[in-house]
Amino acid sequence: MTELLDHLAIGFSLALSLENLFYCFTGALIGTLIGVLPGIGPLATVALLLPITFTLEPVSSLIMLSGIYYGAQYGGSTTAILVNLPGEASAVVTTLDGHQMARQGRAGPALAIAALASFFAGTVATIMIATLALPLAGVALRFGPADYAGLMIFGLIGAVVLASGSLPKAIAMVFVGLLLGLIGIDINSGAMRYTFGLPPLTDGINFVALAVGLFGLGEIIRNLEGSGQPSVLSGKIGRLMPSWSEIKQSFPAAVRGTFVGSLLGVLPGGGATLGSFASYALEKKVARDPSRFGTGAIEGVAGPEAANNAGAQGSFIPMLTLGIPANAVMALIIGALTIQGIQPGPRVMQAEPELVWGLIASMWLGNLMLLVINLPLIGLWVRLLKVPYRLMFPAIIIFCAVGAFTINNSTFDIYMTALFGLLGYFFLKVGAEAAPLILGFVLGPLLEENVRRALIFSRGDPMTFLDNPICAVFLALSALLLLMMAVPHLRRGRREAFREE
Amino acid sequence: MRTTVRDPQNLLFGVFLILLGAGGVYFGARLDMGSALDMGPGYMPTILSGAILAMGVGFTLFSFVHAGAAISNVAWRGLVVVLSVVVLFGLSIKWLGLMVTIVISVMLSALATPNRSWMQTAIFAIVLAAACVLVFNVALNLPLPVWPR
Repeated sequence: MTELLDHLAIGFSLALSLENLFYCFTGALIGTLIGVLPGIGPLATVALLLPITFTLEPVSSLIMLSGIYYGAQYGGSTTAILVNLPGEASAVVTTLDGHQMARQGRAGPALAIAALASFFAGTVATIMIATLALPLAGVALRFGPADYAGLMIFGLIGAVVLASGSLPKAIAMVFVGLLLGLIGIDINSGAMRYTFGLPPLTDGINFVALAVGLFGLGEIIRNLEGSGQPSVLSGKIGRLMPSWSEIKQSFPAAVRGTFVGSLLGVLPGGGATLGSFASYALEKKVARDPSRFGTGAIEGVAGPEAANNAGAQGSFIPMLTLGIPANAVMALIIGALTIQGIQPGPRVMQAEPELVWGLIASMWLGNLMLLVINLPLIGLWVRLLKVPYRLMFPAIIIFCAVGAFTINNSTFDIYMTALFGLLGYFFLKVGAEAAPLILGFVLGPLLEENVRRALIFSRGDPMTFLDNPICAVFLALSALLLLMMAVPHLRRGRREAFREE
Repeated sequence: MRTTVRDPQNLLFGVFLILLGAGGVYFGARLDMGSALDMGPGYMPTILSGAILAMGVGFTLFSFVHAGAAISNVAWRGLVVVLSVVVLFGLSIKWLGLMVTIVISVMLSALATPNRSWMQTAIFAIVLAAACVLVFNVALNLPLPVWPR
């Protein structure tokens, strides 16, 4: 316990430095700013803003990136409530009751409850991360290469099973990502793999080009399909403060949402989306009058909003302690840290405790800042929603291009971004989610390295993966997950979990 | 019995996987496979490409059996314009600098949407270019050329 307090003291002393407070605040602010834009979810936001954090110190860039992440998460909720346009899947449920409340002139309380529930969930999740980080990292330190390979496979399978969308396509996308991740020089033999004599490919595909192209440009093109401007609620926001009875209704929902969200967020593939859907379903179950849901029930805003924030933060746990991304945003953050020369995992917790504890402390501060950013500034966000998309998207394209260019000062990366933009749009059109691809891309080289090492240890005997108890458990769990999806009843359950009504 | 495509999304995705997997196997063939004991650089790529190829065949065959959603509402215009803007940005950034490149990019982007007023777009382009120089060059200190050389 004292150890935990010591760590938190280190963390807060770092996070409270003027510089890091500034980056935390800027991250949350810019994240909200971009996240508010309709059609741009947290994933695209983080991808877009990755490049601007590379010039910073690792701690500061990590703090800023996570600020961007939860800022975007929250910005998406604002859009969901006011425009009925969810930026990404995790905000879908917020539109159901949140937008109804807005239409009844209760936009203010809906936004306030969303912010307060998120803050409550963020606080609880931060405490959870702080308590779980050390023990989990301790366990992970004892892992051998075979165990790591097993864990990664489990992580990948879990991520595709728990994510929304077509399961077979998600699995195929993981493989595509794994293959793309191997492009470049092979560190063991020095052989060039799939570089086609192009020098910029020697270090592999530029991570920023891949992420910005798939998520940024792909989304922009899709947004150009529509008939133009989404209609922003024209009425006024109304009073911001929720009434006492609204608070009383929301509080238990927020507590349940926090619990569901943190639990699911830690799982691979969990993150924010699953939590918010599960919490909405739970609220409907425990409600005395379920028919109120969909017509502006405040519990339907409080629960899912708490769950998605808790889930978003819970997903940092496997990233920080094991180096395994639970979702695509974490994969982006791992990629960003790798560019900074840091490989997240249990060793980082030992070697650079300031990095981890500084981040944990700044998460809580960031959540506090979000309250300040969102509630008083709500008028500004509303005005931002009214900027026409035809002016908005050229600015986003330029951001994508500048971001890809500045990593290596290379125009080649800009062309790669265009190529991945094309692919990203193609994937959207054929119903294949790009998120599993990014997970595979980040884990590809790690998985290869660990499989290779495990096989060297066992003198080439592939049975090592089954003889090794930890690895065997992970593989068995992965197989179980896949088998469960083969059972029609459960498959239907998964599909229903992601349906709104 | 006539065979017809019943799931165009799966078909296209399957063809994409087949092309990628086949390319991976073909271009991976010149890499040393090694053995399980001593994995060569070609070991993992070949296994992965093979799996991708097999899955591609699966998706393709399945698309003739099982019905699925059609591919609709493709934003061809948006696709072409957005990708051209990005490529053009790459071609001109080192040569024309950030200011001119952004103005050109914004003007070209306007082609992606139906209702446009050139005057407004031009003013917006210049304002955005100036803002970007302020943000990227002054605030973030990124080494981007500002003016044409």
